[in-house]
Amino acid sequence: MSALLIAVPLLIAFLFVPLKNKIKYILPFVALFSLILILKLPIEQVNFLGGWKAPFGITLVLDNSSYYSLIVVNIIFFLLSLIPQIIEKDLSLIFLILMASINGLILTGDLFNSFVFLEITSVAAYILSSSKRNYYGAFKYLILGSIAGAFYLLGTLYSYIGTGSLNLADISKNINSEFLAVVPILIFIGLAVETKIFPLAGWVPDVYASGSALTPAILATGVTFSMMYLFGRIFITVFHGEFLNVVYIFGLITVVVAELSALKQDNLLRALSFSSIAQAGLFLSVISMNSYESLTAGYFHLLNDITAKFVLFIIAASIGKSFIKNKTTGIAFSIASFSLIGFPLFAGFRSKLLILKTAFLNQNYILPIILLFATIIEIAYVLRWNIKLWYPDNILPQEKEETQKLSWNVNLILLIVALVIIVIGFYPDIYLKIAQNIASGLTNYRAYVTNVLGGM
Amino acid sequence: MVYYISFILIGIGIYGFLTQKNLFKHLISLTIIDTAINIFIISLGYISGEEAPIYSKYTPIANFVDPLPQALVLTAIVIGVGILALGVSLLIKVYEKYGTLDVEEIVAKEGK
Repeated sequence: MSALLIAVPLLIAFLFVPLKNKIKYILPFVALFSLILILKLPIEQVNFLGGWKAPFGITLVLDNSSYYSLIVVNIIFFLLSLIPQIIEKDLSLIFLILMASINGLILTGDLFNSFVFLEITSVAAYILSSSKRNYYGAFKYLILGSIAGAFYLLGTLYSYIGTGSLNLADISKNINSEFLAVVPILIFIGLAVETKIFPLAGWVPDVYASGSALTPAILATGVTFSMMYLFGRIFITVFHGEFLNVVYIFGLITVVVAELSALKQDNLLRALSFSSIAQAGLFLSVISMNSYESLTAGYFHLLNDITAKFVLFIIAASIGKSFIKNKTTGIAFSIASFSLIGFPLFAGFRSKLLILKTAFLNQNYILPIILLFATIIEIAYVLRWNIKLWYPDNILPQEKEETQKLSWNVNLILLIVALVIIVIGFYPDIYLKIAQNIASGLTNYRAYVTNVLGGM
Repeated sequence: MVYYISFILIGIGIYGFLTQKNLFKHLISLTIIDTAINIFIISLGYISGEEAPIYSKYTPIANFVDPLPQALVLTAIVIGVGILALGVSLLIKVYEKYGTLDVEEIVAKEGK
């Protein structure tokens, strides 16, 4: 059954190639279909493709963590499909392919299969990022992403040499110290481009700040979330937390460098993309403490971040220089940006508090220092952008004429998501439950192995 | 021995990225790395003196080379070709927009 999540969007994408103009109206139905399908699927189910048993064939694993990740990602796709204004005509097909490949990336229980889905996701992302004539940025992303893909493939091959298997559960069972020196570093390089680790995140501002609303709204939320899920799955479930001390240091460097660069930007989209890099770095350094509590805190923070970024990127890309004509949009923007800096009563405050608590429990004092330092810088630039957009000083009359009013459905969805941020600020249980389920699924690798391979 | 060839080729590809200024040469470096990894994959499964992994009446004893890397390399080649085609089509668009493929000239024109 879970294979339908991959098959249906792909099939519809191919069937509607001759009707490219009509496909916009199909998107919400496809997204709704996969959302309903996920809710109907039973958890703890393993799907053997072609009837081959676990170590030999490809498996699609639906456990606690992949189930809730699928729900999060498909809700994002559903919300985006309800805003057809930001989806350009030719990109609807890519939207469907991206949906299929991300569902596959989350479901798969095979390392080589995850490489294939990773490449399909990246190819869809390259095409998305070339919208608004941003060809040079897309080409840079293509080169970096493909080298990273090559390294990921090399890591996959080394784990095949080391354990004789490509199945994630089988690798996790047969892990030995000899190949552990090589494989994590190769796979880390392979995932570092998509998870936006500092030396390899140079493509992010060029791609996110192309002026298209769809590109950052989908890459910074859905794609990032699925990559972070894959990162947790490989490094925590399969490698049992090996190599994470290196990830920790890279994450902290990413936070500092990206926040400082975000402060310098004079383009809102570029500032937000650097903030996106910084939050990814923070997330990776939090989960590299490798405990159930830190994973919960990390995924909770990631959920808050993608909720806020969803609102911020769409508004930043589609609004002109001020909120003069779009007061409701401005309110949604302010709510999301306050959640981003972790202002009390907003969702971001809860997750930053949880991260601080977890770090102190683990007797880790460097992460809190970096987090508070990053928060101060965030406050500086977020407040500056809020003031600039609410009270524009040097705006010309004809520019004021040109700013268009956003249509009602964009405003409605942005306001609903902004309301979710406030609700989570008061009752964080919904997001916490998702984060706890993902964390328990990722940390409990014995249950994962038994689930896939059968009794041990 | 074949391992060395593939790692030398990966080194050449990375050298190309670091030194060349023409975007098309970056794409060629990418192809070199892809080819190197493909060579590496096939060399993994090869066992000297064994037969092709096809089960028939002429091979009663299954003295086969490992068939899995051959299946993997097919997928890897297809993905590599897809990315190469996408890269070339992006480069055509880049050339139409900027009139050049030199990194420094493009950055100078972007800055304007």
